[in-house]
Amino acid sequence: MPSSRAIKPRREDTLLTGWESVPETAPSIMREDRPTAARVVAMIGAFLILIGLIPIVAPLMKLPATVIGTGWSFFLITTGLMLVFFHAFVDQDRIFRRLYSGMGLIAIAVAVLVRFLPSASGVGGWFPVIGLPALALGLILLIATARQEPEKGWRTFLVNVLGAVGAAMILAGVGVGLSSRVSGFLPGEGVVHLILGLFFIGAFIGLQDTEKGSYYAGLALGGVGLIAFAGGVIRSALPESAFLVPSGLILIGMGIVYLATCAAVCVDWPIVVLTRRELASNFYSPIAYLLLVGMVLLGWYMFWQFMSTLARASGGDPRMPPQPLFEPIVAQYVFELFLVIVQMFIVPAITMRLLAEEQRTGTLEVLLTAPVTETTVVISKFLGAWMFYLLTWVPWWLNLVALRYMGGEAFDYRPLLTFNVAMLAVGAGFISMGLFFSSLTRNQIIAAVLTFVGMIGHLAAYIMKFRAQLSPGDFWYEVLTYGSFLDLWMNTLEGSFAPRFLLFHISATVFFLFATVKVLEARKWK
Amino acid sequence: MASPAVQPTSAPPLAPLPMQRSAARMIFSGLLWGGALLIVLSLWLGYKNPEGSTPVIPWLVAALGIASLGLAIWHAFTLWLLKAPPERTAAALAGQRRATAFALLAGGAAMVVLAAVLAFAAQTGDVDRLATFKANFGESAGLFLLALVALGAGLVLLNPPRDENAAVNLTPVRDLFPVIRIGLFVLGVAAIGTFIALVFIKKVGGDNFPELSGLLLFSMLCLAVGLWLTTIPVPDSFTTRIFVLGFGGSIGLILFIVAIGRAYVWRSHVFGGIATWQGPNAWQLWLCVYLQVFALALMFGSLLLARSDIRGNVVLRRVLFGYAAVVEGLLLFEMLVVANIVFYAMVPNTFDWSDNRGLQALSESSRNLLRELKQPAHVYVLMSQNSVSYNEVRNLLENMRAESDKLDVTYIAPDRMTIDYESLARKFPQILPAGNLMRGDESGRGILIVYGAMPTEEKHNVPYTFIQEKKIYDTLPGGMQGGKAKRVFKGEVEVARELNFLVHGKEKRKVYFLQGDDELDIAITDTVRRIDPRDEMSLFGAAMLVDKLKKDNYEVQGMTFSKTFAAEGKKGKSDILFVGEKEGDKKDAEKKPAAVPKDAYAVIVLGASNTIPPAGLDALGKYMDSGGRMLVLFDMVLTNDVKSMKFSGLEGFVKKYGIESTDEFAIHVVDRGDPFSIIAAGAPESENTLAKQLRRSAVRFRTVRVIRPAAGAGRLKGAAVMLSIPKFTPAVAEKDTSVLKDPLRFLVDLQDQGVLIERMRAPLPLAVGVSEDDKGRMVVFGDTDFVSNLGLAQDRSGENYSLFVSALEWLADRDATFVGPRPKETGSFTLPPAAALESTRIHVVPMWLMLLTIIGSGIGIWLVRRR
Repeated sequence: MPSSRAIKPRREDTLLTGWESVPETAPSIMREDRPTAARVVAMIGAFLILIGLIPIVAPLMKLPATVIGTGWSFFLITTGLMLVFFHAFVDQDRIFRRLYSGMGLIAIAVAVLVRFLPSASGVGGWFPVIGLPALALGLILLIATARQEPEKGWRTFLVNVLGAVGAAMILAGVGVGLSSRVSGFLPGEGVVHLILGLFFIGAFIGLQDTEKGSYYAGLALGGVGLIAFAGGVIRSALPESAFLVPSGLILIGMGIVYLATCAAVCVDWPIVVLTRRELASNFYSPIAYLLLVGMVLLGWYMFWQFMSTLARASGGDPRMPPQPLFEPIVAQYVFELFLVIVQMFIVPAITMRLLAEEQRTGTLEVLLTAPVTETTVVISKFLGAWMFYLLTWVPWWLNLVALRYMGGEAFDYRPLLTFNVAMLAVGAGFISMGLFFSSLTRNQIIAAVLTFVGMIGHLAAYIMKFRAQLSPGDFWYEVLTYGSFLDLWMNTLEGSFAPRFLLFHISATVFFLFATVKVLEARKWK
Repeated sequence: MASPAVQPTSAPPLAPLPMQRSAARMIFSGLLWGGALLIVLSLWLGYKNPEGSTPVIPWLVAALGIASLGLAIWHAFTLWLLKAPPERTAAALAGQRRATAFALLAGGAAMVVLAAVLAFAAQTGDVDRLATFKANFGESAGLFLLALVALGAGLVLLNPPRDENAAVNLTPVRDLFPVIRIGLFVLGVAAIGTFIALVFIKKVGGDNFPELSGLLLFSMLCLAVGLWLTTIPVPDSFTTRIFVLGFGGSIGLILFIVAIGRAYVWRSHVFGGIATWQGPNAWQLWLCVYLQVFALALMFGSLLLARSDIRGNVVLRRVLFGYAAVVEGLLLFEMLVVANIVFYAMVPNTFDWSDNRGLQALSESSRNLLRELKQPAHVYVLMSQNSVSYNEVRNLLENMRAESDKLDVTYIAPDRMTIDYESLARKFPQILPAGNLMRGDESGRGILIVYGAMPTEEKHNVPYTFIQEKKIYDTLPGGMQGGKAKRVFKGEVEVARELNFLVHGKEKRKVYFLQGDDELDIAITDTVRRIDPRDEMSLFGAAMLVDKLKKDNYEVQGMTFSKTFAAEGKKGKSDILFVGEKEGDKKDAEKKPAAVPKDAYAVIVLGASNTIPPAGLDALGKYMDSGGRMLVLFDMVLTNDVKSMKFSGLEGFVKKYGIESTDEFAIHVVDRGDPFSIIAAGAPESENTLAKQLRRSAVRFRTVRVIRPAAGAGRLKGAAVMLSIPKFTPAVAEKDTSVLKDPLRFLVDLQDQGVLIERMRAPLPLAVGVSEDDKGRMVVFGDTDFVSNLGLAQDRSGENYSLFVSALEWLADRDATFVGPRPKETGSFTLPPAAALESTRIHVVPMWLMLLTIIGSGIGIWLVRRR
């Protein structure tokens, strides 16, 4: 309910001279926001959804084929939904609040029902097709309505629904994942429960009225994370256990994510607070969205090329004979020269502003007047940027999820696990190097150029190996291979995992972070 | 009169808390650094000399490292976690400081002793002590330096903490200025004289260039500083500091330059790689490293003496702190480099996480083989790096090297490293291409394995073998019925087999297959299914088994006790050796008894159902009594009226050796499907080596007889090695063959009687191994079908053959056995036809959804923040 413009007397009613301004009179009149634009947007959205539904409904009603195909139908429905979501977030009218929250609750109920309904492919066979989109729809609508719901009882109910669904999904994922003897649960339905459950619980925590509520919810999440982590480690370490890949890695990884979320919610250590702030600040500027959109488009281009190869290999092109594409096929999707070149630009884009911008604007001085050390500042900036860098890879993996579920054919995804483990180390090395260069200068462009040169240096290890005509077994060949991130990428994408090759990148991370701390400390020496 | 009150002795005042905290942080960092270094050193010592004469030293060093880390944690607790009033915290830190000082003194003394033991304790025998000293120079000197640091730190810590920037008393140095001045001139002249003598008289060569340069620089420094001092009649404290700073720092710089030059001269050893760093000249690397560290420490020490002036002198302050940062960086760098080298050397494994090849690339059999190596094995990979199988071969061999330090691997690209290749080809001509080398022709490319010391001469007797590259990799095209194409990597199979062959002296072991008593025919190649249990085994073939054994370097020969069969065999194609009773000829009227040939490694009987002649059984008995080995495979062969099983007489024979071949057979409890099909695996509780190795193998038997261990004669000991798995194929044992007419009826009857559940729960023994003093003597299986042509052809995983050859190897006079590894298959991927035609949908939908999500999230966050 924003204030209106100030009430001012008419000039002709005053004795003011020409240059004197008309005085305001408090208080201002308060008036309701009128979300007319949002409602128009919602109408358009609803209209698009309706048109999009026609090609789906027409065959069921035995109507003749429509002009709009299923592809356009999908496009219209998703666009329409986005517009409706916009309205749901903006319009505070009670009718719409109730309408959207009701729709959200129904969607969640449908998802729960579908999970336990028998189908041709067993109990819950429709869950991936109907249940998951319904859960996502329910989550968004409940967040949209709960956050602006003034009636406490109804708001508490909605928030509790989010919490209950999230808790149920997480507990089911961890419990069944740990106790199940079937290895297919965690890589399939289990990981979906664990991730979606985290979103629900995240919403539950974020919508709490009191800090106490958030604190205990975060603590509970941390407890579950600890169980998942410890359980994953113990089951993987049992003699003759084949649990580690992939179930153990999923449980351990999600356990760490839960523990990190718990720390972000419950702990007020400077390093945690600064990391949270640093990570969040990425999303308050358009750079993050531009980078993510760029990665989506790049991923799409690569995926398109990859799908064309797959289609040809599978006989999709009648002009060419099918050629078998041997596993692991993911290597052919991920490892492309184009991607390597893009990395040369992405890392500087993420790291260039980290310290250079703070130095240029003088906010670094302000930051360091707070009771935080240089080490805390550097590590939190590193962690924030590192997590964001890892996030930029997510669109690539989601394309492969689409291939699995829409393609209807299983492929060997395990090399992605080795690749991601390698990426944790390689990415840390990249980001720490960028952070170091960002600390050296106040100019973002110089920081970016230095990081770019550093990335070229990384790449040079791979190129020099061949230019120098070295052979395996030679000292320098081994040294260059050891330091080459491209060799590591290639090997991990083949499913080979040699822990010794990660240590170089971890060492580089430690060294660059140390050097960055020293650069910041050097300000005191003047 | 009251006595005067006794005044309590007041404790010395504690240093202020900030100073205590600052000192404690430094102690914490030092303990952490020292502890990490000690642990890395202990790991390296353990790795470098696993069977050294002083194996306890790594453990002691590790214990000191852990103690150091423990002390660091203790400090961290007080510094950051202890919630106490400032006075109590200060008191706690003071107490810890004192305790740490004593601990450091004790630890330092212990390290001095350990360093001395490491440096001077000779290996066993008449090993040269100097050689031992050189070999352990790096580690002992490192330990000694750490000991000095610990002792120095301990002594410093016994005094209360002081202001970091307090002035150092240099009055003694100032008092000695007249002597120092003369001394510098003398040193300078002497250094120049030495330099001239070495270069112009002794003609010392360029190899000593670093030391000569150092000598020259040192002489110039001495003379320059000496001259400068003559210009100062009465030195004050500032001049003294500048002298110490300049002279000490410059000497440190000269030593640093000398160390770098020396490292360049010794570059072949300093940058020689892990093998060189473990060799006799490893001390050269360490000498350079320690000299550099010493030089840096000298420069740092000189700078520290000037620290009282840093408050008033910006340049000095920046130099001092900057230099401190550089030294800290170098120390961190050094620690990281050492950690990388140690980890690289200690964890050379490559794990395989892909779906088709499992977590570990090496099979148990290959590991056993590698652990058994008595002599060094040299593997040369003569392949191009662009080869399809190159990475697989490299990973395989790295993993093999991780299992045995007797194995070393060298990579030679024949196209680029022609000199190395030709040198190798002169010693091992088998590696040369068969004909003209054509582009793309992989002949002459592959893996050379040399077992034993590498020959120095071209003519030698060192055993070696060469595996052609084309044998390592294979591509199987997709089947006509929708089967997918596969790539098969046979590297492990080939390398392990050839290495096994070399380890056993290239001796082909000869196995005899008994024929003529209705066994599987080793000459038949057809893959025909045995449907009727009345069909004799001789109608079916085992030629595929014979082929596989030959490829595994066995020599295979058929033998028979039946004269008739031998005569028929000669007419046909098979070459069967007659070993039965022979009539006397004109010269020697005496009959020759039947006998198993003396060169038999083992006798194999594949499902005999016809009665073996008594003379034959006697011959087998004598063979076994003389230490022979037998592999007997029974099967269920029924009489024509299906009233009983056919017996060959071997049933009674094997009983003497602790095996009871019963007349029971196994029926799978199943309402649909094959009632004769039983899945078995290695006995889970058995201590038998073969059973242990077969625990991960699952083999499908058909028409299998129950074989039980029984009491054997003498030292013979029978143990079940294969049991049915009730979880997968619940089965019951039955003697009455008439139930085979309607097995389902029989099972229903058992259920009606209420005994079915109880009977099917227990696993049935289906194979028994007999050992004598832990050496395998005989293995008896209740099934034969699994090694018939059809059994092997249908077994894509290779488990059937692996089981057979494992049993055969177990019979060798070796404790460890060789279970043949299997080729690793990599599948191919094809989209279903519908998906292939609609691939656009697959790549557009996720992109669109992601774009909407990202843009939607951006708008959402903008909306939330706007309010």
